Amino acid sequence: MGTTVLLVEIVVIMSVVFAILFFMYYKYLTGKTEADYEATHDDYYDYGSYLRDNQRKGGFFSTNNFILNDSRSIGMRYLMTAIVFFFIAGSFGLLMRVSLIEPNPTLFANNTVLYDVLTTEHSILMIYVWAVGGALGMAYYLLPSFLKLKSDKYGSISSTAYWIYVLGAIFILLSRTSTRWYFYPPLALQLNPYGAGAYNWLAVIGMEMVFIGVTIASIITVRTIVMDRSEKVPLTKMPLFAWSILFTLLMFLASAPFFMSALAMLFYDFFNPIFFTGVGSSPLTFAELFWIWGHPIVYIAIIPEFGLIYEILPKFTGKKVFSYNSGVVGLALLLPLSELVWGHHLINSGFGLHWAIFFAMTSFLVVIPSAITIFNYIGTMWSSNKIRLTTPMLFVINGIFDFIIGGITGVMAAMTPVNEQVHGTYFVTGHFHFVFMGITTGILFAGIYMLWPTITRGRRYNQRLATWHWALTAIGSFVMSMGWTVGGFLGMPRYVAGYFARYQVYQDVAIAGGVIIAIGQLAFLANMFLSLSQNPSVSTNNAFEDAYDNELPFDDQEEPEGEPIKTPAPAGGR
Amino acid sequence: MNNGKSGVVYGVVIVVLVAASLAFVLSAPTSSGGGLTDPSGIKIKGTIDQTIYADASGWNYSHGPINPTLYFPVDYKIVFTVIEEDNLPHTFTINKDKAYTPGTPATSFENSNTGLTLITTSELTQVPGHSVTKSYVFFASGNYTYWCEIHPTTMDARIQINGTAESTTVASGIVSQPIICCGSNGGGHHNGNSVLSSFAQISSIAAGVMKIDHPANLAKFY
Repeated sequence: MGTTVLLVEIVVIMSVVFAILFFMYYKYLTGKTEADYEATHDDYYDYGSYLRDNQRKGGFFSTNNFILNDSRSIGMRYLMTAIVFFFIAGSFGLLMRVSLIEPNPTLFANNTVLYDVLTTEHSILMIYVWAVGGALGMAYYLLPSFLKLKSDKYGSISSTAYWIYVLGAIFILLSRTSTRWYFYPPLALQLNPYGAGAYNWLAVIGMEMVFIGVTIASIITVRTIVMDRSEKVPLTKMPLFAWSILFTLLMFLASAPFFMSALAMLFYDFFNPIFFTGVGSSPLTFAELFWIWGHPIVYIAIIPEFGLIYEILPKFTGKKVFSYNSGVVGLALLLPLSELVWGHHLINSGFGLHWAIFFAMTSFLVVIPSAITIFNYIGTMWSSNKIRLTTPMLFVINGIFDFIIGGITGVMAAMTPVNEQVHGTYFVTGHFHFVFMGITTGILFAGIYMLWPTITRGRRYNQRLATWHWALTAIGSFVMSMGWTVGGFLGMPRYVAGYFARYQVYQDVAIAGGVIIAIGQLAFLANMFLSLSQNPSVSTNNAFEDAYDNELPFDDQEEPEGEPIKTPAPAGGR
Repeated sequence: MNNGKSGVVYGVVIVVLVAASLAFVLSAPTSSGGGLTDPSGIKIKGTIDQTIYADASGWNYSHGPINPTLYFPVDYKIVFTVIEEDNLPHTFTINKDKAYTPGTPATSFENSNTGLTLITTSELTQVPGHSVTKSYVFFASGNYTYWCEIHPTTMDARIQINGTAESTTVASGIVSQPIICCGSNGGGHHNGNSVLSSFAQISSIAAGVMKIDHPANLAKFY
């Protein structure tokens, strides 16, 4: 190709890009001007809050969410991204399961490194996009009404944070890295193009971008909770979900810098290995830096769901939360304790007995706030006269059930002698999936079902399909995790594409569970198709907001197409 | 957008993205054999050990002739052991799909994207005496270049692969198995494409008769 042709092509492409950008900017500016006018006209604080409170116009599953910058649209974005990546990463997990049907590799017989790629992508995407992204989405969507926010002025920064975050997630997917989710050097430093680790550097960059995005979003959300809260919502009466988000994000901001700096050093090590593989350094340094972050992340992934349970329970038990104060204390205690238990992931990495005892002891202490929370749930349900077993409530009950099993197995794994036996086995995987399938996944789905009429603009979900979704997810995750837990206790090693033949029964049980879970998620997908092809029939009232006497201008009538909602706003806006 | 059909579109997007991601991830480049099972298809005739000292002044700078030309037979697994001599970072890079033509400056290979870095700076730490062992199989005869990407002007030398046993001399190498070699594609000239698909790296250490996928299947990994 000649230089002239190249230049012409570049000029043409750049012109098209600039034209598109200009058109987008024009649309944005006109829309903003319009919204500004409407906001002033309707006595709103700013156009962001106007858009936020009239979000029903655009609908939930809408591309508008990716253009508008109010907090509800951004929350929707996070949730939509989380659901997409949940299905992507879930399909990876299913494929991994199916490939283990025989002791010797069958599906990936000649390229078992694909199993490592699938493991890595499954874990990273599930944790950072499904769990963290879903929690952020719920926070962005629910907090403005929970805290009765007047203004909505950080939309553009939040939007930037979202795009950095989602680009990082896409980079991680594109990198096809095989380093596991903990990026241990020297494995992560393999740049040989023959291995699947050829683009590990891209995964490191993507990881950093995810962290930058979530950090910006965390700072904005913490500021929203602490400083922008309405005077009508004092700290002592703040919804428990807001408390849980506050503790989660503080935990994130306190522990993420360790892993962010470790990743930066790892990236430097690609070119000049001085930090973790050179003279006078040790890969264990990276492991420590990772787990200072890596343990809080598992709390970051479940505490927002604890808060969601506190919001769902009163709805279906008809009672207030059994003890608000102990709920806050339970969540608050997890904040310092989670920062102190990270060493139990490295107990047999040569820490020595004293540190092992210290970390095992702090791991036992974490039981206290977890038990406070669980007994709070049980107390709420116990004091109820009638529990309505709707789909979200079923998910909550299953979550409590799974969390008890997952918590007990977790404490078992943290005991020093037992850890020697179960370290690096499927026991850990089973423990983790009990908690993540029960609490993180189940409660996020419960929240989505709660919000369903709101996010689909007045459509009801198919109750039978939703129950099947719950039943298959609950049974499948129990069967899968229990197969792993029992097999792992007998020594079945994890993270390998094959296994010894004597573990086949446990692996096959886990495969059965995994397939059941997958069918359950298909039920969710079918529900979405069915529900959205119907006509709107129910109120778009946000079920989460009912408890907080939110005087949002709801009306149950379907709005005419394209016409902005004119609602009388209370004095002073909202 | 307001009639709710966008939600159905969202569901379709999920299905499409899941399929695309699966296809993308499953097409990841993998080492032959994936590390667990022996590769199958091609026979390796033996193993040759080759030790090279990495010094910024030139390969083998303080051990015999500088930048020695290495002679190997075709279809043999060459086990390169590179030993760090100074405190500087080095790579061991060979041009993988272009044979060296005499008279061409070596930089033409170094600047091209055809180099295969067998040993990276991350693997060969800057501790004098540290050694890294990697193996490679040349399935086509011809002249190749090996160099250090950090010091391309000083650490730059040739590898000569001969297809026939008669013309094979092994310099500064130890033949651990007798040469019973008769190259099917020995000696002749060849274009880039045939070379591209005609050799592969073996990650397994196992010696003796090894098997590899058909070369045509390996082409996508380069």
